Amino acid sequence: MTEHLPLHGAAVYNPHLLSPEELKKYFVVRRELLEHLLDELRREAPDRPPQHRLIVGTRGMGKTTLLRRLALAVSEDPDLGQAWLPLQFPEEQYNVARLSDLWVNCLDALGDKLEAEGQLDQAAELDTLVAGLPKGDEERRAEQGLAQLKGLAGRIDKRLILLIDNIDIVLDRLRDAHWKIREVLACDPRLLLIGASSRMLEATYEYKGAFYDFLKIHELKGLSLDETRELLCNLARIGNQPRVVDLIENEPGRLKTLHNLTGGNPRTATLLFGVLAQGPDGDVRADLERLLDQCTPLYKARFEELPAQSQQVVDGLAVSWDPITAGDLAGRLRMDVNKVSSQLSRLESQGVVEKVRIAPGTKAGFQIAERFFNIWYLMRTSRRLRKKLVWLVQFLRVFYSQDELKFHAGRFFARSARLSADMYLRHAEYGAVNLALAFQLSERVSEATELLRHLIAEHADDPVPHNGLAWLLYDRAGDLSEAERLARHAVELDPNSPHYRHTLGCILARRGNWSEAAEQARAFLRSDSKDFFEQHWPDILAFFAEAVAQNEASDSAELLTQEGLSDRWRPLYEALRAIAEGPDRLTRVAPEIRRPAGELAKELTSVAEAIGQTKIKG
Amino acid sequence: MKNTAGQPVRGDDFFDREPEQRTLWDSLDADNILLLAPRRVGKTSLMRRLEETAEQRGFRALYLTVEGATDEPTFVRRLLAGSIGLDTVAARLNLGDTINDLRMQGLGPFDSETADRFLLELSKSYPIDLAPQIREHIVERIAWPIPYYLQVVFAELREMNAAAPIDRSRVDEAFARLLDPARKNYFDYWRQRLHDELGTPEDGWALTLLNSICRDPEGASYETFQQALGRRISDPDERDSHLRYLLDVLQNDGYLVDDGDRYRFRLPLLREYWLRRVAR
Repeated sequence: MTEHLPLHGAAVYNPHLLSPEELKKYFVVRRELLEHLLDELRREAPDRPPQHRLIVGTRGMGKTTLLRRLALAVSEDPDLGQAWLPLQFPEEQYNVARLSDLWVNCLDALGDKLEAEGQLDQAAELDTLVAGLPKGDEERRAEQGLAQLKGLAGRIDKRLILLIDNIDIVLDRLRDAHWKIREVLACDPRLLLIGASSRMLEATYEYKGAFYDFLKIHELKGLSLDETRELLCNLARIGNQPRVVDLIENEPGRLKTLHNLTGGNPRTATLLFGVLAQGPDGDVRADLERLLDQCTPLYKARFEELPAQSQQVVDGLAVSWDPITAGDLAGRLRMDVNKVSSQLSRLESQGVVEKVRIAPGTKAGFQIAERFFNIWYLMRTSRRLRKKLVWLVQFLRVFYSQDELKFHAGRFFARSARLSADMYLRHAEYGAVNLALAFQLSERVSEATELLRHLIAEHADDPVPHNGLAWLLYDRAGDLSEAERLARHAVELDPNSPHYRHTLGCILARRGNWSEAAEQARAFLRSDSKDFFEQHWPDILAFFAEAVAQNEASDSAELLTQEGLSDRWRPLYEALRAIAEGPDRLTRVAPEIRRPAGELAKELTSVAEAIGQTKIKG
Repeated sequence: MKNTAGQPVRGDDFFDREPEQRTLWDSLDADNILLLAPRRVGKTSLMRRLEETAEQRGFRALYLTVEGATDEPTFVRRLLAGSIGLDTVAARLNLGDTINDLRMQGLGPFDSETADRFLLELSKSYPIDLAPQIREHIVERIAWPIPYYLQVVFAELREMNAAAPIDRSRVDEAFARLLDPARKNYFDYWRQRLHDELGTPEDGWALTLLNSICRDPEGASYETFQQALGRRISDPDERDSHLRYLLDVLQNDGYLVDDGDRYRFRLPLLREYWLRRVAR
């Protein structure tokens, strides 16, 4: 039985609302880093200044939660709790204007901690001390504040961990005091700074900065697919939502698609859990729409904060989706290119926009930095753009549902055979055909061949065994001219079947007859049976792998364009282009499309290589 | 031997590289070769040397540059030269196969003994008296003794043209003079190349890296680069892969060396130049 926690559900924006017990239960994905930090803390020598640290991660990456969890872990660890006292601060210290404010905030945090531990006398004493600090002379106030902080640490015989969230803002406000802060931290063994920031700090990487080479940096990356799964399953366990666990396990494509689009941001993943829990029977598109809906207040507010002209530029970039040069963007917006460039560099320095390399050529591209914002924007603009996004979502769902698509030669053959099992099953009256398939699947190829030949002799007008033997010969590097003859016969018998055209197309491609192979491909790509795409995606891929093996990647991309599929199956289209033109081609493509396209290109190439080797052996 | 810098050298002006020549001739018996080295190390001079001595080895040599070549004659063997980063760049452009059937042959700086003989030879030709400890000092200060920079320093010493014998302080003065604005074209191409080779925005990223390296006399750490680029590339994995690529190219092209946990300029002179003229 899972024990359910009373109240809050996962805190999305305010981890401090969680009780210690809740915090411990919800905290699952940054455990390794937590353990590392604790371990490092245990290694600190008692009388030497400790290694100060900075945790960097973009919004929603889990900085605040990590700081909170760390404080709890230190307090609860018998040895660490004895030696260290973690001090927590408000998430934003708006009141910091001078160095003394920082030390006073530390004293206040210490007071809070004493009070929470029931040491009311000491807490009251501390308040009196703070009230007694000199008011007029900043230098003396700062000096004395610090002295008292150190003195108190000495009295309670504990070293203090300053867990300062949004330390970038604090340090920005205390520019003149950086060197003083550094000196204190560098000399005093009683103070340990563990800060968190949503951006890298110049003061830590500029050679002249006070904290250059001084802080150990820990960057919080986006969650991997496995970590996202772990987080969602954990939330499902806590919230008693077994159906969410089921759907995570049974619909891998749904989760993988959303993971690709959200970039592994834990806050978004937590929102996603809410979406899945509310509508486990929905589909990935509905999930995405509701997830975007949840982000709307935040994204809208952020967009509206921008001046009008910046909004125009951001709109242009988001709508382009793929990275775009300043010149092209200016053309689209019908704005002066210099104006666009200066807007772009302002937006870049604000972290809204990122410069990226696009090849070929020497001009930089620009894209929206926060990718999920781009997705949100696409969903809210015109129907035409929304359609592009929906196509991507549909494509990814099918693509990612093919578990373990990384088929090497052997598995590829087995898979193709297994998938053509569907069509054999439709002809269940030919039990023998199924038997042939069973032979083939269990590597008893000669028995399968013999049986299929027998069926062909018995049923000269039945396309099924013709197609079956044709595929078997193709698949097992058999006699291709016989395979072609059989496949042609199957197509003649049933010209409307995309399956038979697919078999013939693959065989023709392998025989080097690309133009006719392409004709067959057009026929099966035009097939309007929806399930051909859904159910036979690996077969479609098998044809394109054959095309790649025959050096026809470029032509087959062209084929997709002619059939109106280059937008609908954009990742496949881009994969083929990348194979034809080199991986640099993918720099021109939005990251959400680039990732699956890159995976596809790799798979197609490796299958094509396997085909090449079969040919040599054959 | 002539004091010259910039032009590929021929005939008597070519110095040593004996082990390299032997290796190349041996390899050419069996393979096509791609000679990889940063610019100014002396690839062209070495190739011309091979051309001059080909007949003794039973080869007929034909020297071609890419710009001039319209059609490629049928070779028995090909010896190609390129900057070291070529393999990294080729992989990106999907040209891996094109250079895969070539045997890679690196070309490095002189060892200190060869560099010393080189300076001795030069000093005899002019003649300028360079005592052994002075030659040692020059080689030490260059730190990466390729013929080009040995020639450049020697030219400077000649130009200073004093009757007084050359001592350590004169050498140091020569090094200082090399950083005068008037001599910036000894180094400017290092900066210009960044753009030609990488394009935007990677040239800007490379500049960021090189700037942080030149400011710190000990060189900078990978962590510092990650932070410096953090403002420009938010995705950590994306940033990491760009960073590795850039460091690869910059090391291969002779800008940087990896000192274990820090990266620093391979040529101390270049670091000085960068600090004064580029990073400021």
